[in-house]
Amino acid sequence: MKLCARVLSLALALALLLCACAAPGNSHAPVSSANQTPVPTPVAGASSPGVPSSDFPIPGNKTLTMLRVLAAEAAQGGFPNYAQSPNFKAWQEQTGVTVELREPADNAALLLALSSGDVPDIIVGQKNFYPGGITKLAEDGFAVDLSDKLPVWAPDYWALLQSDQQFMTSVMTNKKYHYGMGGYLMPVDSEFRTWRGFLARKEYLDALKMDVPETMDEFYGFLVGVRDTLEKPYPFCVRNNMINDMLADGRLTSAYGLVSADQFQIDGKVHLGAYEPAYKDVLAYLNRLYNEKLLDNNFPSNTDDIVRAAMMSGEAAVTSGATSWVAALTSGATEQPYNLVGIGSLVANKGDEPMFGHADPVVTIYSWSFFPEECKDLETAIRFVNYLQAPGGRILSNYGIEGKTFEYVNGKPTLTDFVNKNPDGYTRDQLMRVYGMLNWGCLHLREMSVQRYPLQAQRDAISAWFVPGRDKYVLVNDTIDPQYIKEYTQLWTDIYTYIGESRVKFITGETPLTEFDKYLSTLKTMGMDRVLEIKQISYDMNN
Amino acid sequence: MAQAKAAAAPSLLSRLQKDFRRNGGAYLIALPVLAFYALFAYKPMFGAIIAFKDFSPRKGIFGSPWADSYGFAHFISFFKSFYFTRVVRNTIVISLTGLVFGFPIPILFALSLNEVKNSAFKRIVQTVSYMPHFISLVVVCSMILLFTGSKGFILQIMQLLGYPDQQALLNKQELFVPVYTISGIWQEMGWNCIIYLSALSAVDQELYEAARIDGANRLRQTLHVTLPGILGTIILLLILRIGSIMSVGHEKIILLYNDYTMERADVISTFVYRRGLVNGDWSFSSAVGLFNSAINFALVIIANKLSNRISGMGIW
Repeated sequence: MKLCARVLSLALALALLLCACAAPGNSHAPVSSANQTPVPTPVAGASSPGVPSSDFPIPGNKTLTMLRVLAAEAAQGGFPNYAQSPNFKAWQEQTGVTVELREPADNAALLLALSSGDVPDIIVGQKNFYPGGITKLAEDGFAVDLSDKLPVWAPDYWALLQSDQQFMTSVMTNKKYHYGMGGYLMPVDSEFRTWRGFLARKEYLDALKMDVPETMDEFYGFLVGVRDTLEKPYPFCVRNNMINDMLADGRLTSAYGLVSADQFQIDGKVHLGAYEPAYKDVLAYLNRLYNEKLLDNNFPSNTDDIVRAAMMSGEAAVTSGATSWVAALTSGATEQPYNLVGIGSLVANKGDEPMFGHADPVVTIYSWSFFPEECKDLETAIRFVNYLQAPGGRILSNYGIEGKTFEYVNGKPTLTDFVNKNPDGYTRDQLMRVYGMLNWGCLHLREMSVQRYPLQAQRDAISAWFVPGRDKYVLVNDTIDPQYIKEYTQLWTDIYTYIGESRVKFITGETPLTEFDKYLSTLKTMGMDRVLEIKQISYDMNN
Repeated sequence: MAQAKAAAAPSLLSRLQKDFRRNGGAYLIALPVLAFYALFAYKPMFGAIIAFKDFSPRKGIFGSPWADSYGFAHFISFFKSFYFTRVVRNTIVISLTGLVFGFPIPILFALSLNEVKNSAFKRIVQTVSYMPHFISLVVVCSMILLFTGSKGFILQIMQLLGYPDQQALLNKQELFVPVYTISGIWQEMGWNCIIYLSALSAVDQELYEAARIDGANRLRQTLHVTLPGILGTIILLLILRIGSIMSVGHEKIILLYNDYTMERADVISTFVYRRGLVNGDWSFSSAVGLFNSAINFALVIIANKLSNRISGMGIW
């Protein structure tokens, strides 16, 4: 399962993207004392007056220690660990700070190191890597409050946070404290925050003389056409967790007035879609697809490999996939021609706006930096991490190393053939994780994402999936308050299991939909109302 | 052991001294082993105390505060869980099925291998049979998923035999335990038979000769010479196996189960995994671990008692 989680996070990482330097606050003053190090020119060019900028390199040959869980990405990019990667070396070189990085094998090992008194200057981990979450981390002295330090020592990071309220809300605790620095950020309006959705075979749409489905009925009609006219065995081929994803993304819920099957908020009130009456209609729709053998009846036990194989052989017409699947399926296809198009969140009537779709949060949970009480040089540590949001660091983390992974072409950083056609067969993403910081570490530039997805089909799919208005339903900061976390975990673990199991049983018809009310009342007895109450209290505290 | 102790008690120390002088080197060799057990088996036992505490990495094992309900909060939380009865039931069912069907197979396999006279063939069979043991569990499980999938060879063979259904085997709740058990036998049969094979080689050849003179055929020899010869080993392993009834590992189940089969597949360890490890709640995991160990411990004692009474053999 640990491996599953790793594979999952990898898939996640593979599919993640980046974004636009659109907000005015995002452009920063150029690096001033950059003479000794090869810091490239800032990406946005113009400096914003009034935005203070750090000076790099930091004088005084400072040294720091850092703990960060060993990332599998390093090995995939050809380096034994992140400490030896070109990116980490360049980060130290360009900041003038020497950092001794230790990489425990997993989160448990990281916690063990901390509990045995082996506390570094900087801890890099997921936002909630610590049992009890970020507030507990602060209570235990592993994360000092940075609120008054960031504007001074991390001016670039601070300017970025100030450029959008969603950033600020996401990184703060109880609307007051900055217990850590978020690492992996994406501009709010970037479509590259979206990286998964429905994928359909264009040839089959053409053969049936259909447009890309927009409504639930068109989607159904397409699947029926694939089954009856084209006689394909698995019109809609997915695995179980993809159904979970598509319902959480709200791709099948808008038509029934439901935002998502997962958590969402309307006017500040927290809801859970799977606990709403309208959820029954969503299940009924899927149950119909299942009964008519439009939805692959093997979906509960299907694996990614099985789904991919069905798509590549042409036996399936629609699946749910990530951006990376477009390239993988197209290149592995056994039939020609082979083209995929994205289908967006489905609605009831043509012309309706979908309410929700997939997108990553603007500040992801990955690679937050925390500074424990033991940190012997807080200023240098904060400045060192801030470099990633400074112009030079932003280029380093997005494009890697000049002359190796990118070159300036007409003043624009452009990936080189070393990345695009690597002689040793490493993929673009694998290289950008060791030369750059793909999917962690900094604000991702939209320009980079465009270069990262060379296929027009990938970018088109993203445009189809992206629902601009979705953010108004999002719980921007969904951290559970620590005083409730035990109770919440105890209730939620069981409830989450029950929701997942019931979903499959309703879809396959093992539990008839007439028992939906019983399902709701079971959730009630399991403590669903209390869960929502805790979510609501925590939401009100943090948003 | 008890008798020896009683007789030697007054002079134990002096005897030990004498023995130490004579066999000092042997004691020295044993030292690292003792140190290993002391450090890695006994010392961590004190850590089990976190089952009664709210463990915090900052405060350490002894500095962490005691849990609510006189330290029993984590146990109560486990017993009160919606899924408590289900995970305990599934753990016992999966374990017992594995015991009933999985335990005798390596013995039968060892017995039949023992009858093979062609040593080259014997070695090949042995190597092939314990190969799955060395394959990473993740790979084994994806193999199982492929074999039992809608296009897997198992369903294809069944269809040739006239079975109409095309659904993957793991799409059916009731097939989870059989798939889990049979694949477990396939994985471990070869490996587990090694210990029986070595026990078999220790059976006195003269007994076979005597049996043959008495007119015993192969089957009779097996029943009256071979089996009694390895009975001690069988009972020892059986008692040990009973001592792990409550421990069904989470890795293989997590790799094989899905929301549909969970009804039959969710066991204590997978439940703890979702609840304790994913959320970093070590105290909760320890509480459940301790609960399991207590039951396992009791089962070993009972099994040993029964075995002593019935067959006169036991671990102690």
